[in-house]
Amino acid sequence: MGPVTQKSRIENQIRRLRFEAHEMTQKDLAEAVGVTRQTIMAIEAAKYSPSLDLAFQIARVFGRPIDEVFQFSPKDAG
Amino acid sequence: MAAEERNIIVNLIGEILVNLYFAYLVWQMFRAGLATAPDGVQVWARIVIWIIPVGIGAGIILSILARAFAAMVDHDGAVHLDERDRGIQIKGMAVTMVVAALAFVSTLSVLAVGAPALTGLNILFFGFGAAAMIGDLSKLLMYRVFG
Repeated sequence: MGPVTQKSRIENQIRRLRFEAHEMTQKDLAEAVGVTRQTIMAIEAAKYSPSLDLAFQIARVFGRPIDEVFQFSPKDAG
Repeated sequence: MAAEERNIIVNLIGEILVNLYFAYLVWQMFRAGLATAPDGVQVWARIVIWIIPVGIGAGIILSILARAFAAMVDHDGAVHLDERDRGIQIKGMAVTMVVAALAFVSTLSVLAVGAPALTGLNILFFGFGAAAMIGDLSKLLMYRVFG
């Protein structure tokens, strides 16, 4: 088990992948995975970490494995 | 602004209006000297019983007006809750519960030191009102600050 003083942060490549997917809009992605556009905005800005289920759905929309869309990067709390 | 944020703001406005109206009624009651009357608690209870449907009605009317207004200016799709909305709702509810519990303990405390029953009941009512408002404010903060 890792130290509890570490913060975890989920980074993502959604913005780039949207651009590569014929400049898909946030609204299009939101409709494809069944969430609001504000949730996609929050995920892109790394302000909200999606559930595993939603993360897999987003990866499936882009046809990529999940680790190409989301990356875990532990950061020190201090 | 997310549809759910808009709903929270409408709820908040409704809660403020109802609490202000109730405060006005209680103030009138105190001015009329009913606070110290033998049937003061009964009169207070009747006001509360009548203010509950008023609050529900005001909430429904404000919600309908807000949705109608939103439909005119915003075409962002159907209103539905997603996992982020539900997470924020749960956290906001936890904040509401904590403040409501504090209001309950405050009521017991003032009654324990001999305050009149009506004072305790008012602290309880306004404490619960404050709990709902603080819970809603915390949800707005979570939408705006913490994503």
